[in-house]
Amino acid sequence: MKRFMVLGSALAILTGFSALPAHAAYDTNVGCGLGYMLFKEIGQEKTLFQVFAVTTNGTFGNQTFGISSGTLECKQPASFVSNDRLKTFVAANMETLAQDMAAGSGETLVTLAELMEVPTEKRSAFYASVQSNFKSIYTSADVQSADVIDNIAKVAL
Amino acid sequence: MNSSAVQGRFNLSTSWPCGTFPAWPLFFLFLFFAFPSGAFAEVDYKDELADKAVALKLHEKRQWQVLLHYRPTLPGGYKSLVDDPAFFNSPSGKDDPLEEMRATIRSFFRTDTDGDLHPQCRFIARYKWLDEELEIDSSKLPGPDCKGFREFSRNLDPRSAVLIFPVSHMNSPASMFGHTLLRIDSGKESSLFSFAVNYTAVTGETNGILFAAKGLFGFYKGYFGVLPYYEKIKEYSNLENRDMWEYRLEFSREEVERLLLHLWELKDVYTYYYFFDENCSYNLLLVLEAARPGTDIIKLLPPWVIPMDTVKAIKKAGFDSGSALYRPAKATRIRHIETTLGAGPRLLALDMAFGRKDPGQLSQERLSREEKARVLDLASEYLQYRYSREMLSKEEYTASFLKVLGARSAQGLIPEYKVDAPVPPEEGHGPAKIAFGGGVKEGASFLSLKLRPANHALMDPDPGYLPGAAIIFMEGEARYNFTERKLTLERLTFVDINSVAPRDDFFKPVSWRVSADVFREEMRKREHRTVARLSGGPGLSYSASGGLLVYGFIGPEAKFGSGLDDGYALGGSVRAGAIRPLTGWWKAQVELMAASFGPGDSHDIASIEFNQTFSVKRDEAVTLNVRKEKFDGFYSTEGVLSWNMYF
Repeated sequence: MKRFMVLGSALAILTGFSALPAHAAYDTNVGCGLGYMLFKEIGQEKTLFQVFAVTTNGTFGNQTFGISSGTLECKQPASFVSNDRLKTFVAANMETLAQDMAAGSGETLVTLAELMEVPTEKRSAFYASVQSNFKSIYTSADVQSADVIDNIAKVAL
Repeated sequence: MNSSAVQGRFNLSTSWPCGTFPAWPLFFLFLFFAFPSGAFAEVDYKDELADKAVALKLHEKRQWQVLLHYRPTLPGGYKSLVDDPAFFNSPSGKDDPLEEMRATIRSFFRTDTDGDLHPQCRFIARYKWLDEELEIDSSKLPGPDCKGFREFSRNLDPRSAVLIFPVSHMNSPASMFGHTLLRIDSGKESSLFSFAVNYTAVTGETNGILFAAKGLFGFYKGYFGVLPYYEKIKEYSNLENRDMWEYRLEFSREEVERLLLHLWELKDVYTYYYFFDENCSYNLLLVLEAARPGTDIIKLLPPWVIPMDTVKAIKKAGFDSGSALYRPAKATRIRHIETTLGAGPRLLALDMAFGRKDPGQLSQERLSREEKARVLDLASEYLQYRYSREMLSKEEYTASFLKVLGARSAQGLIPEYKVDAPVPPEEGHGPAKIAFGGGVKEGASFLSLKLRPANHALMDPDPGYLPGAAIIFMEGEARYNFTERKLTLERLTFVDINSVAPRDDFFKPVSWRVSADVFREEMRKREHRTVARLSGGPGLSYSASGGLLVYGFIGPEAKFGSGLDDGYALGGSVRAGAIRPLTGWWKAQVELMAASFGPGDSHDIASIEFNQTFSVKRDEAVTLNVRKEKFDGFYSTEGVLSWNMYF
């Protein structure tokens, strides 16, 4: 019994506290396509010392007045060319937007409609349209935010 | 106004004497009339303004103190909380409000700089306020174009403000302190495009322990940042799985604009970050004060600030509009969708997320359209969750994700998910506790007094807190034993953290606990020793219907004390238990524990305890604890009934 406990304890120390890493690092580069979400550095849940990082709200990067994440490096859409907010928003929210479009409802979809200046009375038709045309909007895994905007303009507006 | 002409005239200013005795203004007034278009008049205007400000004692006004974050010091002076010299116009500005005001007024006349760097732009809130108070004749000053601020203000389009409180992580009780940030809402109906104002410590630290230590003692510089709100939602809700509460503030548009002016002054300005007091929440309150300088919100705070106190303070100060909005985190949403499905469909979603089943096969399942839609929603949410934890590659993720969503889009609309909002955190019990109790141990009766400044124990009432997450700081218990006629310190807990995070088909967290305390150990009847103890370790937990939480932990324990053979004992312990709320006001816990110590003092302990909590009011509860222990050959039983008050 005694040996078992000492062994168990040693094991516990190794597994529980072996990785005393710092905290999650955020990559605010949003990318232009699917799969550029923020990452968590550690796959598992937080360990004891990580939590301090969370509590003190540390950040690696330089905290600036980043008004927009920018889409300069992205392919530019043919429609809504001068609507920077729309471009930034779609690029930064590719995943959630895809979910909301497939569901035909959701906060990002409402925001999208507002940014595309879809009149209130035409909103529900717009939501239904993006949902039924989902596969023609998110055409492939390599789809870029500019394609998504152009495809919406083509099929849903 | 022609700026080059202004600059030409203002070059004289450097050679002019800068005194402040009261006769100067009259003298210059005379000069002004004598040479209406003369160069001297402008130079004198600078001092005239400074003198007027001094005469009006503007440096003693609350607005000036708020704008520069001046706080009274013990010797009766003032000191600014901002540490960056760039925030001040005078080298002694950090602790001299008067001199800073003079230097600031003079700096508005500077001609060696222009545009956004000009003090009129750089310190735009101070300029605006001094302008109101002194009625500055702007034609006599350079007129820099504050392009940066104009764009900032245009982008934010400030109309109203919201305080955001992301609560604790699952399985991360220390984050139960939470965090606070501010959201500036524009005229848009969607808040996603609003901007979040956030104060954080900037570090390059990768060592967790160093990070914690440095954070506690102010080694890091804290900065304000502004980012689109959707970025913050991604960070807190999608990535860290923290539910968020949004408290709309009752600020007028004018007040929000004032807040923005002040925020601009704090751009790229650092303040040393102290985990306990000068932290994110404290600094955020200073910004709120700038919106409504009449309110001394800092006075409403306890000496150390946890983000929860910010929420309580804005309520006390009357900033809050009374309606809190709940934004469930991604994981909360996943758990909610799980509850709407039976075991079969749940497994189906899991299979799809793991690529074991193609979403196209769903048509063969005997499920309603709505159920199919929920299965696919669960699968896509879970895919995203796993991808964010790098549990699958980008290629796997994007391919499965689109397949699932493609199938989802064919199911049409279903009613929106309604995740029930829990009790908002500010309506939970206060973090500090005092408990009076009486009990019996082995025939000897005693009185007990317990005190603790923070924060939440597993057996405290749950509302407002995350179930299974507990953190205690500095809890002490003193007892007076009637038989021994002795007052003793029974226990002093420095820190005790329990994270009981249940596992299910979708989430597999490892629970953990850690504890450091000094306590009075009874080895034989009426024979005690004082022992310092460190323990902790990982565990597993599962939940069942009715809020039942079952858990098990294993881990090492180390004891130190002169009463121990060799002065120490090393060993380990296992514990298993269950907690369950029986009614809304009654919860019960049973816990079994076995510990064995080998190197050093050799002894074995086994115990069983039953704990019950009866909530009386939000901040009052009765607890009943019964514990039976076997210490080597010595058996003891203890029962304590206590009255607990939270504040």
